[in-house]
Amino acid sequence: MNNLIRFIERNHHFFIFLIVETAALLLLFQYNNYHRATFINKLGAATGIVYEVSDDVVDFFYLRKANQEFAEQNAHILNTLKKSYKTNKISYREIYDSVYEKQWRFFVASVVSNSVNKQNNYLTIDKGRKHGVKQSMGITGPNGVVGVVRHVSENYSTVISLLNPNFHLSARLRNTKYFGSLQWDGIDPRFCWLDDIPNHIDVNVGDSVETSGFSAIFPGQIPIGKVVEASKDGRNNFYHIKVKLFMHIQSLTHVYVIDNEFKTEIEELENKTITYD
Amino acid sequence: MIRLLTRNIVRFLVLVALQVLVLNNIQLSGYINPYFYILFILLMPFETPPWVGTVIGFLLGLSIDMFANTPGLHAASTAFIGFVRPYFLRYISPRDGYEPGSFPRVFYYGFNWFLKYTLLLVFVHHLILFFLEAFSFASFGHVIMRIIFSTLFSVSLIMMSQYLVFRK
Repeated sequence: MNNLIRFIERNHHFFIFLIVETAALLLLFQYNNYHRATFINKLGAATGIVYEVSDDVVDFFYLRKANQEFAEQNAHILNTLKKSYKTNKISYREIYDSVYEKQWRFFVASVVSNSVNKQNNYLTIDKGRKHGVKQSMGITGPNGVVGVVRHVSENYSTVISLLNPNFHLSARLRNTKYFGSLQWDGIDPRFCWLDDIPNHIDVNVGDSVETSGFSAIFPGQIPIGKVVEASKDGRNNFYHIKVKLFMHIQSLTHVYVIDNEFKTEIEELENKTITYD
Repeated sequence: MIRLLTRNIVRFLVLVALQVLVLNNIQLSGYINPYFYILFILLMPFETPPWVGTVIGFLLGLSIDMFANTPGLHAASTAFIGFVRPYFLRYISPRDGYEPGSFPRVFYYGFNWFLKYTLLLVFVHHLILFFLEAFSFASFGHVIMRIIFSTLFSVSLIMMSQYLVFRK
């Protein structure tokens, strides 16, 4: 302490200069608009370097926006795909014009909220009645089924997730075409269970599971997952198949809403059949 | 001693008045702003303690700032020359040092010595003043021009004052 005081005393000239000059500069920056602005600007240039680095990081998060654009483009392309059209072919002769009529319409929606860790999981998407979303439309993600629209409001819809034990999906094995019902057991969001596959057929680990296309909600052949475990249930004659989902519902940002243009027609027809039988 | 103090106080007031009332209104061709008031710093006695010079420089600059409405600008530059003046004096001292009872004036140490002394301090003062005023190196050439022309003009004024007013 004594040394410090002696040091300051010896260099008092310099220290007094320092104090006085600091006071002058403070006055300068405090009371002169131009100097204050420039000073802040210069400070800004220095902080600019910091911002540049942080911008690079932030840009990464804007990939989300870029993703959105790609997803929209993708929906557009899906619309033009052959498998979005129902064939009207009724003869064996190949006719190449006006044979396809559009059956499946895809449009993109962003996931507003999502959950996977509850027992009954729901998603909310940012498209609603205004955009043409109706109840029980199918929802798929980039690689597989996500769920079915439950409730629709003007601008938003809730989706009952595949990760909801109340949701049964008609699914089949890709190679043998046997179909069953896919359901979540409420434990691990990575796995679902495929039931009602008769146990006389061969099921191998690694077999693909896809949508059956019997539901009028989803088109057929949408990949769902792979078989990781197939056990024969002792009590009845069905397999209990564990399916690893391709879809990571946890990291979902964009989904496709699927509209079946013929849904009412199919349902009316089926209802009529049930009523009259 | 009292006489010295009174003379300096009067000189302080006169120089500030001259600067703010007359010279601040002179702006020749956008380049030349004469700053004559620093003559006060130049004429301070050799025996002035260094820190007093710094503080007086600050106060002198602040008084100019009050009138010019540029708080801190002149204070910063004048405080700086108040700070460096003792070092300059040591640097350009005659071989025998400064005689007691003498003052830094042409009368005592000759035209050459005083010109050197004035040029150095006025240039440093103007350098800091104009760069602080511009506060950027963007218009570097323009600022340098202003510094050089204003220095020449201020130095001429100060040298003239040595023959017209402070003859002894």
